[in-house]
Amino acid sequence: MAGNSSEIKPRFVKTFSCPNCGGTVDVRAPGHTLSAACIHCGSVISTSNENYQVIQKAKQQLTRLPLIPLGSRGALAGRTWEVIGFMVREDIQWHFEWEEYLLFNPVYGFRWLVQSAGHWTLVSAVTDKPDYKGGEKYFSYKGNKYEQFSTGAAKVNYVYGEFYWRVQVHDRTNVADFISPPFVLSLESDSEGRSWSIGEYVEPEAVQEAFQLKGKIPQKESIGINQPNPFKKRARRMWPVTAITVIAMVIMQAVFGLVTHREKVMEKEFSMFTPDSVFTTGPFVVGGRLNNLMVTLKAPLINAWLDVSLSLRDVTRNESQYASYPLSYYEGVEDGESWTEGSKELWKVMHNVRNGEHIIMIDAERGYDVQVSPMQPLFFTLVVERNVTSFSNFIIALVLILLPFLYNGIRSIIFEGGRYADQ
Amino acid sequence: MSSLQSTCPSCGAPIEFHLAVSLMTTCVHCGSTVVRHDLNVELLGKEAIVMQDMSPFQTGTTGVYEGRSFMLMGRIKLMYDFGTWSEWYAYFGNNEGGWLAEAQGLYMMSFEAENPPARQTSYKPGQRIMIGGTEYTVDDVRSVTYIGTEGELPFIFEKGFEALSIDLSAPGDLFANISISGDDYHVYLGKYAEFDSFGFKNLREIHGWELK
Repeated sequence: MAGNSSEIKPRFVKTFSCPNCGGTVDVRAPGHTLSAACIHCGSVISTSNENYQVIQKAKQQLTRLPLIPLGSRGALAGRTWEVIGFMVREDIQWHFEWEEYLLFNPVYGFRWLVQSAGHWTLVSAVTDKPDYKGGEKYFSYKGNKYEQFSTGAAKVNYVYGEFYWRVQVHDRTNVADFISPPFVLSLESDSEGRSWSIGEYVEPEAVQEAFQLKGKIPQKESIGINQPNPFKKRARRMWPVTAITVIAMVIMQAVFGLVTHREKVMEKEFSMFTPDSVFTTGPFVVGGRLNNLMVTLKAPLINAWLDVSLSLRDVTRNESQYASYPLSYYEGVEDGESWTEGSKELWKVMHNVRNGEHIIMIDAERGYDVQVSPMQPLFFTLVVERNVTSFSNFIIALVLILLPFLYNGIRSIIFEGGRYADQ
Repeated sequence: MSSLQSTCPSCGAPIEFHLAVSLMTTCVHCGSTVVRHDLNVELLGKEAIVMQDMSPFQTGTTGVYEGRSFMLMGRIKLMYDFGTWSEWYAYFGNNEGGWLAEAQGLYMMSFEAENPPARQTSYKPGQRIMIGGTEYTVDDVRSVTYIGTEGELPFIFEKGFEALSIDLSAPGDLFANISISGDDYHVYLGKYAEFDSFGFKNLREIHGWELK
């Protein structure tokens, strides 16, 4: 499409002499434009009829040449445009400047190509006006939710080329921007009335290619007001799959929990009279569908500790698994507030426990924080259960699935922060 | 179409009124304005009105609006303080016509309202007016002058005719125009539409631009 621009027939350009300096002024869209700034002296001249009256005598020094020369043609959004005007505007409060190129096509009319801090936006007039009463922070327009981004006033610092209204240097308008990246809706108002326009973000490379700009184009600075947030887009794209996966996992886990009936294999109480003791459960048989065994240790500790080392032995296969249970429980009152620390119960799941005969050996050691004499006996209980639904795999899988989504979500929030940082 | 063939009272070239509703036309040969009186024609003025603009349309351009075909028969060119625009007479057949406004790349097709709202004493931008159950907002109020014509028109064009033209819009790309001149009060209702939506054929060539 961009290739078309080199094959265009000789351009249609009407010329007249500047009434101020006598230099030749080009009119590229006769009948469509109303004013032209003389490229020699900077005066603004009315082109609405052939009297060519001066609207504003040279009030500007022609020092800023447009990066895209007047008369250049390029294809943007599938249509060919000719650059016919250029102006520089400034935010009155914050004093930042931006550039606006006026593009023309005899059939599709006018567009603005706006360049602000290296970010480009293609803007067109809005005929179907948003239902905006004034003052709303959010409103909907054509299926997108817009958020008020900024309000302020802008003035024209510099004009070059021709325009479809009677432009003047120092013209002031109130501007309010509402964003729904990549779109930005702008409301410009002055004493004459108000007008809406809608812009869509254009990558700098697309502008460079469309107008075959050889030189450097301004670097992107920070985040453009309507620059699309790639992380939000990714997070949004991931959201349905992530949500469906998580829901499916929760359902599977729940169904698993329902169909697998937890079954108590054994419960045994041990009495401990000395600081160290060794016990054994005696042989017990496990069966069922899941290869796991949940072993819970319960001890009525008060300001005491119990360290248990377990060894689960598969009698048939002569294999052992080990687990340790460091149990402690303390309580007290400090500054009128009661406190507790530790717990009286601990459970662990042993995996790869196959069906067959097993035995558990217990090596226990216990103590008090404050030595009490004589030592009280301690009765602790060991509970062995089969067919326990495991949550650890579920949690790990959940985190892994949510991770990319969370990453993009966080990057998206940081990106949105950057959008507002420079305002 | 019921047509009337005659010769130009000024230059003698053949002229034709293609539509029964056409009351005037311009001679393509000398540019004279010719008015129809039943079977006779009258020379209204000989002034070659050069339509020097970049309009993509010409007499004979065809298009489709909301499923119905039309042909552009002629146009009036209007001027206001800050510019010009064209109103093309679009003929849909069966003595039905609409107006296609062409203004800086915006296109509005409208038809005269059968039940226009009551005329107001004044019109201001921003004012809300109910027309046929829809609330329209006045976008601009302009004093306009008819400056030129081309092709066939269903009324007799008067150069220098002045009117007050009020453009209104409503959500959904709805467009309305109120035209007032003396006791004349007309309301036109229609829509903004994209150029491409009309599927125009037989467009005019625009010097220096290639249209697909």
